[in-house]
Amino acid sequence: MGCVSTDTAVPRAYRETRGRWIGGVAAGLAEHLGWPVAAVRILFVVLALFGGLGVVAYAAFWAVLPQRDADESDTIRLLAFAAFVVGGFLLFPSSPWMQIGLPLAVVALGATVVWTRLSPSRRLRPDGMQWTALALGFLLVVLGMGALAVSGLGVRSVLNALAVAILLLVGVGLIAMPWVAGLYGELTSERRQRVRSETRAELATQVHDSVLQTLTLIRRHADDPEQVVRLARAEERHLRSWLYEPTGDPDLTLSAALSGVASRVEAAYPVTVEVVCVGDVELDERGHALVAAVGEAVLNAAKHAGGAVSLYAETDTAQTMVFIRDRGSGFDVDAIPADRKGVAESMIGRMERAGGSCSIRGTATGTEIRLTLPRAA
Amino acid sequence: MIRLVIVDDHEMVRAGIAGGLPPDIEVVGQAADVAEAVAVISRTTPDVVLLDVHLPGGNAQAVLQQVGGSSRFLALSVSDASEDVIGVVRLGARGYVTKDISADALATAIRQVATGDAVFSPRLAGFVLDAFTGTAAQTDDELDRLTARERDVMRLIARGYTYREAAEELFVSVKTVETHMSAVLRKLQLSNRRELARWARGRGLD
Repeated sequence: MGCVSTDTAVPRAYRETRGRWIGGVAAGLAEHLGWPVAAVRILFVVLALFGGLGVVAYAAFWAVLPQRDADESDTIRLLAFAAFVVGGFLLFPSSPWMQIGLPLAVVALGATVVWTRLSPSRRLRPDGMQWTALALGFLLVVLGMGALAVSGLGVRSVLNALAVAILLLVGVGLIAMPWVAGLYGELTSERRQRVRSETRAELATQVHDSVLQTLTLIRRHADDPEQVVRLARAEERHLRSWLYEPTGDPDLTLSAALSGVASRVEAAYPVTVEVVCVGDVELDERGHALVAAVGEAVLNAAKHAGGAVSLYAETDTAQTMVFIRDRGSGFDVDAIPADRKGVAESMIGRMERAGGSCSIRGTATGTEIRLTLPRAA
Repeated sequence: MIRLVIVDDHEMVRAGIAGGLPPDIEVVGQAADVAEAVAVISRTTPDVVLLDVHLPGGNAQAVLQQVGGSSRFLALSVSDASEDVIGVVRLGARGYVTKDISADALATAIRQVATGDAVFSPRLAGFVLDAFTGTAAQTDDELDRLTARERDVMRLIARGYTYREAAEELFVSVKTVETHMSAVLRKLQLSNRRELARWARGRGLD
């Protein structure tokens, strides 16, 4: 077993996830060095007998080496790092090396924490946990630097130096204040201006594409009131949906699809279709069949009744019900025009194939079609 | 005779509304913004105020907050955005109609509001059903629930039925339907359901 890995230009050492005993450090090192795993493990154990050196080294490698298939959280690596630092301190309680090494390690730990929190891949809007980790990291860095300074210079001179540094910072801040403020103001005003001009551009496109076009059309059809009403109504619906409604994909949800049906019919016939949706559902194949049936029903109402058509859809956990109501002349079953009968049969067939049902009811004040589709089990 | 004040910032709209009203509704005042509206309503104490939702110098809600007294309010809106409408209804408007309403329907709505009834458009009824159906159906507070009958009435209104048609459909009197509507309006104004409270909070109304 074991040959030096050659798949990258600079061979990296990893901690192995396969065949590991503890953290995969020994297995990873053996893989990297081309030694037998057993030899590496024995080395760590022997070193551990010298006042725990092997354990500390193991912790250090755990902290430093990345895992091959990284699924380990940062926390475990930081814990390993902390174990290395504390262990080192316990190993050499009074050695001069530790006077520098321990603070350096603390600084490194803090910096690592801060860097992992602030890496650009993360969203730069930390939540509570992130803030705590950040604060902890900063604290560690400051403590480590402080300890380093104290061990080299003594408490008094460090405090003096600190005072001088703070004074210096305040002085520089005072001098730079107007400039920084100006820069900040410029930045925000520039951003605001950009947002505004983008909004204006979008609005201009919208106005040009639809409103101006429609106004031109209306002027051309000035002698045809029906056409003018239809154009105005279609434009109104268009503008309204752009202004007030979240853009929905008509292929995805029932409410968006029904709005689409209403706009299409309104564009083709001089009717108004009022759509009211309670609850919503994502469209599957059966849902599309329902929308198609609704389309036929609304079109039918527009052709034969005209005026105002009400379209009401209600979705609950069990089923979707759609009501299409017009105010045409009463519905006399024997007197249905042949093509209207055909439409009714086609609607019923469509709904039944989708596992739903369709019923038609005529009253003195109009016709109401009810389409029912149970939710898929 | 119903005494009416029209509040809308477009003179054309005011003129159009005033011109289409039947003789039993008299326009006693008009206003174009919040301050004017408050002054005119206080001076003339009309039976009904037809109130545009969007006004210069604050919204319709500002008028509702500043005017007390006996006048009843009917919100008039060009938008279907539910939060606009819910805001004014929760502050005391007795109903809501869109500006494309026919003159006859508007007169009917004004008469209904004058007698203390509620006026629901299909869209408002749909919204009420939506807001009161929600996930938290198990609630003890009766203000947060619709009764089965109220739900039936709301459904029929949403389906485009008039009050009279809804009454026939349910085999009850028109008066009963109106009672249910007023009960729903009251719940809409007083309920603290999450959906309603959120809009109210977002607009600084609570």
